Amino acid sequence: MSALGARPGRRLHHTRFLQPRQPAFWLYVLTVGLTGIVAVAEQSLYRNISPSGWALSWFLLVLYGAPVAVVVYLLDLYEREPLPLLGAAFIWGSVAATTLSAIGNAGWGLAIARIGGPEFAARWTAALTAPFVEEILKGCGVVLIYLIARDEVDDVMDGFVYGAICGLGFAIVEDVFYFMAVFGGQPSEVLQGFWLRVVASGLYGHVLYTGLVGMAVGVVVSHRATEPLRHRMWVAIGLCSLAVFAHLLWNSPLLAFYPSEPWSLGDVLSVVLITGGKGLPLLAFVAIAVALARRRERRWLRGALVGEVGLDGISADELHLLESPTRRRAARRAMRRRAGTRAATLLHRLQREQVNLAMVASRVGDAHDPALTRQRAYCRSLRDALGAIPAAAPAGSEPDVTDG
Amino acid sequence: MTGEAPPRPDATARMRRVGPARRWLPTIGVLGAVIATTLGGFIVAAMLSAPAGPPVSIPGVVSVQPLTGWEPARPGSVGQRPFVRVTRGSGTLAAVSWGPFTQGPEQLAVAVRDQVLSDSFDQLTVSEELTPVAFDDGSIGQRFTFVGVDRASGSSVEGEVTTAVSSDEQGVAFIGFSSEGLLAFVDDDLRAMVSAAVVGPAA
Repeated sequence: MSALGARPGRRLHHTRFLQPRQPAFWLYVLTVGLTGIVAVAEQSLYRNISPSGWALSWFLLVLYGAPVAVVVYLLDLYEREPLPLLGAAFIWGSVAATTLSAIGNAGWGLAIARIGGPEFAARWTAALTAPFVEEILKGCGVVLIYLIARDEVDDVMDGFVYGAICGLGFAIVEDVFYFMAVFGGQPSEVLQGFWLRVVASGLYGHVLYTGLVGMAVGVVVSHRATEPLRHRMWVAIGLCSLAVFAHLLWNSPLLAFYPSEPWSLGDVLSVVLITGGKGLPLLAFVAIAVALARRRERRWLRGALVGEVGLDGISADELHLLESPTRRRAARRAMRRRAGTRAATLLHRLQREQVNLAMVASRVGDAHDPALTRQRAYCRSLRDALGAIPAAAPAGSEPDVTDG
Repeated sequence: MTGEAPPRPDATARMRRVGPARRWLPTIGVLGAVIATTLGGFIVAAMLSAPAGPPVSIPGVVSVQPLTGWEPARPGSVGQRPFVRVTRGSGTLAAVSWGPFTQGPEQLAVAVRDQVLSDSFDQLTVSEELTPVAFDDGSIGQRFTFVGVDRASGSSVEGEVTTAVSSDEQGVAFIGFSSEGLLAFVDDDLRAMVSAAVVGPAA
């Protein structure tokens, strides 16, 4: 390791969560602290109702949540978000947003009952309160994360990642509530709830809604130089409105086509079709939006690095690899086969630092900026170290790697 | 003038110094949004709930002031005991004049369960404990909840009973109920009307 140049002094895009000089940090801590007392008491109550059902609930939801979190984390191709901040987004969703939403939904439900009467309220409260209350409160978490660490939310994809993780936290704790308090809490009832709310519906809910809200935050706070505020605001309003509308549609009694209990095997399977019909359009929309955001990231990467090609930091072949995650992974696999794990790890580091080079290049605006020079030199030192490993050919000369 | 150099035109958030206003104002905005979203519904609900129309009463025994959306309904009797009532949708609040009663609201609650609810509902289930309730005039009553199937209509209902004994030892039972699943949407109104009810000679 001593052959490598010193890493540039300040780490890029790894802002700490602990920011005591930021008022947003203290608002976050205070809110999570206060709501956490309620949340812990609630979980304690569920555990007392049925210890086995409660443990099974968490076990199943971790099984569901862990891969979803990994997929969301990996969606950001070029700049993975710091885990402490993602953890903060998750905790806001699971602790603060759920607790505050319970209070908010009750209050607005009361208002709807007063306006429309009990029968109307019984049918429509879930559709008319939760989408607004929950999306606002989860969205506030994403905004707080941005205010705590402004550098970290600098693109639409960043906003999506923080929003989706916040929504995942919300969904998990809400599911525990449903398993224990609505379905009954016994293990068989928890399994029934898991089928309905996670297996049949888990792809369509809060992760997508809050992902959209997070995208809206990302739109507003990024691309300030290239897009006017009014345009960004309209896009953000559109994304938030879509999230609320999709949530409203999901909760709407007009689309409550679930079979009445007790369910036959056919009913159980039909639930999957029903939820798919309600949720797939939004899932498709979000998938397209994420794909567009990734394409935008890719264009940004090329735009930021094209001027660097031929200098110390990156070659044309390396840029060609860097632009495609599939090509990057394939290059690392090929390197591992050819020159071993250490070489593959080193290539991974080189690719990561070349992404960081793009960030520096896009920010300093001066080709001779010392930060940019340092980052180029660091990339070159990594490339030199890689070249010193026997059988590790230059990263850009990988043979026959096709783009997926 | 602060004497600070202006930020570069191409500067990003990282490079700009974030001044106090940019740190505090958005945070205050988030705090405002959280408070408005969490508590705003209760404020709006309170603004929508006001006394509406003349009170319904059994003179000298009990008087109930309907809230917005609640309508007086035809009075009647259960056994030999007269009642007045207000309704909203499937929500109903009946104020039953029990007549002279000297044993306090706890015993009145037991009597209501045994002599009214048991006769009116099948599969009756009541809460295990009585909950003390303070009326607006400072007197203390007792409350319990129940679920059952209405013997007349065959529909499931849920509700709560609040009992009070006036200073001149007149018993009054407030029986609030609605169709199963709807009590949560009228409960707040029921309790508000019961708390504000006038029991005794002033009614």
